[in-house]
Amino acid sequence: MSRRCRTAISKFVNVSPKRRARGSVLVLGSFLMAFLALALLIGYSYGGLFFEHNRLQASANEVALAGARKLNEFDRLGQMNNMVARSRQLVFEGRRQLEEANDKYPGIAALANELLDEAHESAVLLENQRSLLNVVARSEANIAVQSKFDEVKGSYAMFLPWMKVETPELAGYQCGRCTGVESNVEFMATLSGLASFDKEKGYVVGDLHPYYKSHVNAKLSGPDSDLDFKISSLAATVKNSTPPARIILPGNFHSIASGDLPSVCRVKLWLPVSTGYGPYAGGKMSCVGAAAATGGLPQQ
Amino acid sequence: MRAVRRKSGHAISEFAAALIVLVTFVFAPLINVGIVPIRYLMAQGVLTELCHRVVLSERRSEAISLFTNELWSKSVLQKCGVEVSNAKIGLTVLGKDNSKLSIVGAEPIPSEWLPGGSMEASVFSLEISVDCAIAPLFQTSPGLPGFTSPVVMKLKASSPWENFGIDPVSQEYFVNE
Repeated sequence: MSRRCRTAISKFVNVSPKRRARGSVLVLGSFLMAFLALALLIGYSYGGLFFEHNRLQASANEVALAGARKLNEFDRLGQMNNMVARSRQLVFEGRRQLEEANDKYPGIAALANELLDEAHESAVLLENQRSLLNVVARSEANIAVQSKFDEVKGSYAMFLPWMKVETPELAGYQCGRCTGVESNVEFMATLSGLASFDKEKGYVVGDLHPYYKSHVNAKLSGPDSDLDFKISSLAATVKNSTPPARIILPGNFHSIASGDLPSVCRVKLWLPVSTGYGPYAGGKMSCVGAAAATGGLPQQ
Repeated sequence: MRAVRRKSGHAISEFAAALIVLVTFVFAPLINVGIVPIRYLMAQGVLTELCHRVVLSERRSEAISLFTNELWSKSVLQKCGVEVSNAKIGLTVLGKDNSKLSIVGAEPIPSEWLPGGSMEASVFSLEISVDCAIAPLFQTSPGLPGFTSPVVMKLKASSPWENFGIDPVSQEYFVNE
């Protein structure tokens, strides 16, 4: 392009050649600044994902803790465990007394039989109540989890130019027990026959301070073997120290059968997130939280 | 002809040279040094998250085992240019009158510092520390820490211990097992 021609164009657009030359530096500088700003926003996007993950983990723990606290509300699991153990003791002792009466005191054998029947019926009734408690505790914990989740989920949705965070989803909720935690029921050494039977069957754990193992059906032998005595896992009160509900490592969650009383809640949250600028990074962020219920109080 | 080149093309050619000078002597050194605080924040974040996870263990021995066998965090930091060494774990117990007891590794806590003891301990804080060699983006020798060679700093994170129960079998606090 000739000089005359360029001057003519410059006059036409009312820009002198000198101004145009200086303006090009400004334009290129602006491009450079825009590029740097974009790089900064990409950095913010990825930093934001890390922040959101920490936040989601805290929410998962909080939701799991709400469910776990509900499981053993009013020490219902602890009391049920103790009642099951006492009922078992009663049946065992009733059977022994009946056998003794038949051998030595036939006159009171009928009375001993009546007592045994009563203990037997109580054990059946208690097992029904235990099953009902299982349904109630799980269902109330579920409601508590859902309620806490509804409380926290509203604070997440955020649509920024460099990052999009949607509302989290409650992907899963499970009840179980904590690995390594046995029952809150102290071993009953008062009935020597039952004590040796339990040790022989491996229903207890520990030597100096034995406790009943959790999640075993501690069936009796002989005619009473039809009865179920299921003692569940729950942290025990020791030296007047009752363990409070607490967050645990999700890896310490242990699944249990649907008929067993649970003492741990585990929840899984999903959070759909994506970056706004830069290479696309998006999907469902996932966090798992687990919490254990309050420990069982001492036997009244 | 010379006047024409000077008036319209000089800006472009000078800008390219200026850009090279700017990138070589300003941006590159800035990015080289600027990556150090970013890596520091990443390392601190990973360490804090690890500490929060470790305190959820059932027993202190499990916490120590979890911390010493933790490979994921180390490999993540290594990929991000942070070399981790000299990992230590301890417990700080705060008692009455702001008295403080530091426990190193798996050492047992004295009975007076346990919950219900004479020192009325109220806070049990698990502390982890590591030496991190945080590298700049470009490394050359001779090394100038932070500029051309990694800068070594001690990073710490702490979190309150979660499990205050007593093991019914051993009758010991889980924090002391």
